[in-house]
Amino acid sequence: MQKQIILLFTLMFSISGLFAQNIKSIAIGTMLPSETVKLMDVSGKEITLKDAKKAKGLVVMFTCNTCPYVVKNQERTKEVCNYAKSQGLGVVLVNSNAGGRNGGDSFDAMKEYAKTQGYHWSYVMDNGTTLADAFGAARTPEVYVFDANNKLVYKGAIDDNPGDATAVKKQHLKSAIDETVTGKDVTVKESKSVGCSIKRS
Amino acid sequence: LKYLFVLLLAIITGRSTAQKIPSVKMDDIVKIIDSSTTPLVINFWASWCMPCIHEIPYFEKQIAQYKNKNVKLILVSLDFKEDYPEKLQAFLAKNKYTSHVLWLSETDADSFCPKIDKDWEGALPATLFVNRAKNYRRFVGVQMSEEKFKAGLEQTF
Repeated sequence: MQKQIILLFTLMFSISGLFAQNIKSIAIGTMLPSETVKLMDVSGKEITLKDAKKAKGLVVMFTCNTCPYVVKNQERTKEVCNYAKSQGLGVVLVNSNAGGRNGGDSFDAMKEYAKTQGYHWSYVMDNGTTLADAFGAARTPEVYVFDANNKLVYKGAIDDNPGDATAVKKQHLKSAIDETVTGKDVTVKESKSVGCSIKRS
Repeated sequence: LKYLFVLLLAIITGRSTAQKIPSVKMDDIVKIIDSSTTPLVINFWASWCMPCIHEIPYFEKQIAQYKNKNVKLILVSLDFKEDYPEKLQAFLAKNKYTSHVLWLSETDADSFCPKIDKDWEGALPATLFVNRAKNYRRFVGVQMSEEKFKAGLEQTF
């Protein structure tokens, strides 16, 4: 009996430990979280996700200035953000690297990065890690697509080979956008990819 | 003669530090896990990943302190294919890691992540604690402090 109690406690302890340490992204079908949280954009204006959303939906990408995977995806990021805009979706890039604010992910560095990249969509600094926590975002780059009704229809990577643009076979994000705007069910709803952990502290 | 000896020594030690890094698939890692007879810690990292290279030195330090438990640390590198093996080897030689290092040759995270844990979406670092003797397995998908790693080890034994 005593052994069973110890076992039960060990189990409870390990489960609570797991919950405390692992980050889980929101499920497909979840409504756009934190849509009224004010976020500082590199333009100097405060925006909300609700403001950024357009008639056909919204693309939210957790990204940064410093991750080698983000750097490897610079061209693909611009291409797909332009595409999302052309298809009537809003675009917000979010930098949640709260632990990098004194270095390469400072607000000034974000402004500079947006300029060199020629971003013509929002690139906002998370409030601490409020948004990353609300989405359960763990890495950069990590993308979320919401449809016209604010429902999450896709989460994950830009495509199936973030490390090598020449070897991409499936453009997950582009397909999700295409299917969403035509009112179809998104075929590939989630994908995993190697990326840099969001620096939460 | 003394000069020759120094030269020889340099060649020998040079060889041992520039150890060949095996290229593996995730199925090979799964085999290592499934056949392990001692407690095992598998850390997924990359030389470009700052939180990874921050935690590895104190992981190695803690592992060394539990020598009597026969625990092994395996570092599975997810470095880019253009950095394997030269750049990765140079990094290892410079940073003097003592653990066994493997390089993952796969790129499809949809396929390899679930083989380690259902919740792993691909963020680095990630660490898996295994002890087959007590059917123990715990996945941590974030950077660990030295204290948390030590506690993680003790839970594993």
